[in-house]
Amino acid sequence: MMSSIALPAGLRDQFGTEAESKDQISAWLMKNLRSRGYRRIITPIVERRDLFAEFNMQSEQYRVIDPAGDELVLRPDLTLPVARFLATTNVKLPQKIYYLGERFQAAPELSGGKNEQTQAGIELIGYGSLKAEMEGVILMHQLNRHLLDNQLTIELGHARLVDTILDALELDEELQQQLAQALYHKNFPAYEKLLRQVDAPQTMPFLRKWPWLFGTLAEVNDMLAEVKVPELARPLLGQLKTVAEFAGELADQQVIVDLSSAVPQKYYTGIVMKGYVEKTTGAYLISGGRYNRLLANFQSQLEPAVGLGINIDALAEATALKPVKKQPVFVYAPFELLGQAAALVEKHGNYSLALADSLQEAQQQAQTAGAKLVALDAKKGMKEC
Amino acid sequence: MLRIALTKGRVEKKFIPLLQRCNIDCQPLINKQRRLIINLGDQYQIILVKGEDVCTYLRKGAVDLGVVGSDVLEEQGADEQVNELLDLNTGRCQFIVASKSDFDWNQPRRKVIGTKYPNVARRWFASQGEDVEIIKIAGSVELAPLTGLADAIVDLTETGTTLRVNHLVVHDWLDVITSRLVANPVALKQKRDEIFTLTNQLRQAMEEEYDEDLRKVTE
Repeated sequence: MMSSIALPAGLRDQFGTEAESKDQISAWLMKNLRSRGYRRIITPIVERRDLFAEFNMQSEQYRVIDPAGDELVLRPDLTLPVARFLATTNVKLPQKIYYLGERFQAAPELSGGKNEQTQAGIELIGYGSLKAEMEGVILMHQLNRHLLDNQLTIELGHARLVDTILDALELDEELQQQLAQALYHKNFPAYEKLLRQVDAPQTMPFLRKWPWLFGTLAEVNDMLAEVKVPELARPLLGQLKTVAEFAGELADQQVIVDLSSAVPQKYYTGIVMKGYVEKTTGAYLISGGRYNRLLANFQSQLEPAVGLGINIDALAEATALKPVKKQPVFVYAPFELLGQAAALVEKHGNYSLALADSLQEAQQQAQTAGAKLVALDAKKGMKEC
Repeated sequence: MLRIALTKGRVEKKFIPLLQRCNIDCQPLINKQRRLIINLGDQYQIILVKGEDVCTYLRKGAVDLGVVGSDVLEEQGADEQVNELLDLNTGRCQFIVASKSDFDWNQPRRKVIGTKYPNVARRWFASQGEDVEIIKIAGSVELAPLTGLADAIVDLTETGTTLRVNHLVVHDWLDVITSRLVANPVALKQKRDEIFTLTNQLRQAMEEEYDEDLRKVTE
């Protein structure tokens, strides 16, 4: 019996503190974004498979069959459904959009990974200026201040940096791909070995240093002072430095730049942003960046855009649940006094009915729930128990 | 403190001398008895695990660094989930394809391959344009062709002795395998200086060891 109703691998129920922490964060975030003029979008949890096909989402997808017999998937990403919505409706751009929802990506089997993740995020669509990246940085900083006790590190990179520099070397296609993979995955021995096949004397001092080029902006600038950055990469590096300097000026904000930062999704085309704290080593709490070509896959028009996805599960793990402001109060009353009890419940935000049939039972239940108990009595009026 | 998942056994034995050359006191590790978590001073914490588990600990952020054979990394396709910092050049062995000497590799049928490394085997045969049936075997892979369970095997060999004793011949040589120092990508960003200090010390220790070996040979 048990095995027939047990949860499938990679999924879990969330109860109590874990679930409440996620609610608390989501509520703060949703209210914050709405107050700042963002518009909310809710898209269906299932989509057509083709929506995600182009971007080759790395993990296996959950497939579902709709009543018509068509194969759909549980969405593995929340940005592509927003792009679909914009490409297939007449919503005027630019738009600042926010979302909250579940996404499904299969973690390696029996690895302890979570296949379902709650993700919130923003999409700034139709904005070509670097100011959109800076808006993303500000949101990360707000999360840092309000929820993460200034422990968040913002990592900045550029999705085009690796390809731009390697393209200019005019390498064999396979070698170029292998070098890019070794850089993104910081595979130092493989990169050094592959570099022996590259004949580019002028760029070589930079190429040798490249995988090590991450750290604070000051550290990376020091390392770059000793080498010549390839010509075509300079404007991209300029953008990266502009955003990094801006982020570095925000109070108590740790910022690092990485000149071979792995690109979170294939659709990114500009600055990429990630955020992590030491407590959740192994997982990025936030990741996003600029994706100027995504909408072109669904419509003829190119639209510049910046998006940021926030892993609410990981954020909840890193954030302490704030206690409720007022202790809950249970109101015990015999049936004939329930009208008075109801009036109290409606008057006070932290009052609710004690659902027990006896005072003793009500006392036990209040104690278990960490609540105060008051009892209504026809003769004695209201008293605290 | 850097937390390091170290593969128990052969990889561990070859790693300890390198750590000692880095002036890290390894006595607590050498005299570990049955303990699995061993602190080396206040800088390093060694967690002894099976090779197959190193990347699981790394991915979940339970450790910052791992020391593991590249056979495990290849089989698990872990290169996308961990950063590889250094080829420690220890525990050297090689993937091979081997069969009984009388096996006809040209016969036109789907071959059956016994191996502990199904992904490595599948990738190699696919690169040769061959579709094979793979049987995963947990140990003593050499038995598979001898008992008729499989036509050939994909396995690791250090000296080839076990193959020879079991009358198997090498059909092809695949990747050379060595121990690697790997890192959790976020830990590498967070503990950059500590991790690079250890990496550089290990690199220097390897060079010293190489020089010493060279001197012994030339003397």
